[in-house]
Amino acid sequence: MPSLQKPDNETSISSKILEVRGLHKKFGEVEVLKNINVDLDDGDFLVLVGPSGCGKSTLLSCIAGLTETTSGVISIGGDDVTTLDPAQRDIAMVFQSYALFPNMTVAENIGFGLEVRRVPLVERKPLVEKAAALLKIEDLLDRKPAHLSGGQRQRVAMGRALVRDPKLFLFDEPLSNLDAKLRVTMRTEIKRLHKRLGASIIYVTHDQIEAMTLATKIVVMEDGVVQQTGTPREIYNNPVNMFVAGFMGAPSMNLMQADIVVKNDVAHITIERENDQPLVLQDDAPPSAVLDRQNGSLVLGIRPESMTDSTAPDKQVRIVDCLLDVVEPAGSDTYAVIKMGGIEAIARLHGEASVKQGERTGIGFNMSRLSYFDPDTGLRL
Amino acid sequence: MNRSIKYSIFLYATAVLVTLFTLLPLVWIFLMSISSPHDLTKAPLEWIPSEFDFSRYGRLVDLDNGSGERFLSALRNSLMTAGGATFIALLVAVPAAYAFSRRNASMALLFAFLATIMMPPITYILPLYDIFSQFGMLNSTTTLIIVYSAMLLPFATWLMKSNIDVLPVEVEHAAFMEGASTLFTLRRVVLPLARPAIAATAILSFLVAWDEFFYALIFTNDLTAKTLSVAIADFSAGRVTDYGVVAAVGVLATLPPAFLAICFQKFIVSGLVAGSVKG
Repeated sequence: MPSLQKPDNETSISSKILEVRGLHKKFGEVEVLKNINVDLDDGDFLVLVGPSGCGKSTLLSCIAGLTETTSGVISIGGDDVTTLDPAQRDIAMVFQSYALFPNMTVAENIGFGLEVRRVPLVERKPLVEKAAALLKIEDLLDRKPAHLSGGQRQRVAMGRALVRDPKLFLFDEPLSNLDAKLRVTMRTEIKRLHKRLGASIIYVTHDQIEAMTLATKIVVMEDGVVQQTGTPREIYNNPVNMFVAGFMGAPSMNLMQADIVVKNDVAHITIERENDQPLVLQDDAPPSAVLDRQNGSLVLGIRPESMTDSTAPDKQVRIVDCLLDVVEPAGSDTYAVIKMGGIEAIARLHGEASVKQGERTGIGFNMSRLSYFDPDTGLRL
Repeated sequence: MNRSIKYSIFLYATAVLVTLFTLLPLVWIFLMSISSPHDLTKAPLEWIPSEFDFSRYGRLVDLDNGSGERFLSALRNSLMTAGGATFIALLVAVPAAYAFSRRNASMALLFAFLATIMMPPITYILPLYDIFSQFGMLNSTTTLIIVYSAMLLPFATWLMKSNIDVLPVEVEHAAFMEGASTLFTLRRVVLPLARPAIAATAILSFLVAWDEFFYALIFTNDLTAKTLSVAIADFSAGRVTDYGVVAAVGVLATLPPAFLAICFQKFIVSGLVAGSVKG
């Protein structure tokens, strides 16, 4: 006789706000999302980041319920919502294009979700005013969207999401239509808002600085595949592959060809240089995967801030003379381009550094901050 | 704006030409309606009548003696059929257009719809006549409303669909995310944005139904159902034809659609979507 009991894995109740399991999405023959697994704890600020066309917006749209999934499970607050309409998922979304209702005033826009839920006007009003006060748009409540600036429209769109206290907030590149200065202000405000409300947020962006500054958790995507999930610090310091290493951070990590010879658990690194002697470094504590490979060529990753003119004595830092091909003063920092390992590596010097193009100067390489990658698979060693 | 004088002259000359081209027949009809029969039959033709005679208009709205009953009942029938058919066509076309535009309804279906109006009306006349006579529905306003609705629907759906296509879809998505049903979204978000399209579709549909002649000619035979387009011909019948009366009926017949167009003019303004999405 067949058992009527449910399998165990279905009875377990999840404490997570969002769980995405084995999600696939195909548009015709093109697979834009491949086996996506994402978790979100209550109060987390998760940022989906990746270059254009990596599938991050499609993933958000699947979570929102605006795009049907091909296979896989999405659960919100422990309930399977994979086949539910957006309206039944108790989530709110802020769109890149704001998507305000042009025929309604700001107050009507913010109160739309409450209107849909038949909240009486007398109860709606204080809620709308509270949300507006939070976003500092109390004075705009009677205006139509056409008479608002971009930043104000963005606030209204956020107010519309905030007013009914949903389980989950979705932000689809909300700042990408704003000018650079406003973007930074709004970024800070979104972060403050998250802290104040303790809301669970999924935020899509192609801007890795936005990702680093806002997230408590980052999901890096490329080509429809999750490349790495982790805290901003994990992603920045320990990128799992060359794509993540190159994508996160500005200027990005220098990824150069290097030859390694291992002797007595010490890695001797040789980097070819154009018009110069090869650069030789010594890593006393390389990762075991590098020791296992023994000798051969691989890709060495060094962030620009680990190649600097720092003169502070540090036993991790090896100072080597380098020829500065181009010098770019940027105010707070000075960037110097050094041709080495087949690329134009960027070193980050002090803003006041008195170096000139074509000059040779001592560059300190921080050996504790090196990353090694397999040149064939691109994976971190 | 810095236009050269030559270009400006060209522009105004063209505008005047187009205006004359469209308005002259109307002006001539109006002049005919107030000319005496004697002036109208003179050779060579007198463009400006020797006297202005508005008596025909008086007779057309005089119920007691004159042709008031004939004219006014035809006007009533025309208003009811054209108005009723336009209303029904829009009522069905808007949701249908939404389904075609947003819900991936088969385009083959829409083109099949459109194919029905590409056939000449005469192919439908016999079967329709047969059906309506079996139901005893000939010579009735309701019958004309049914026929006209069917005639207007494919075109109205097509027109509405192409207008809904260009509305920003994110705005609807935002409404769904806020928990709105499709019907609520349609009523509260899509319809207000599509108002110019609805007004344009309504005017065009009304005009088509208002000017329709063939079905009305075949399906109606007396004052209870005859529409203006058919009734105009009646005024020319008889032993003596007064072209002035026909012209007067023609002038009056242009007024309701013109009035409708003026009323709806304010809806047909661009920029309703302004402010909803960043371009």
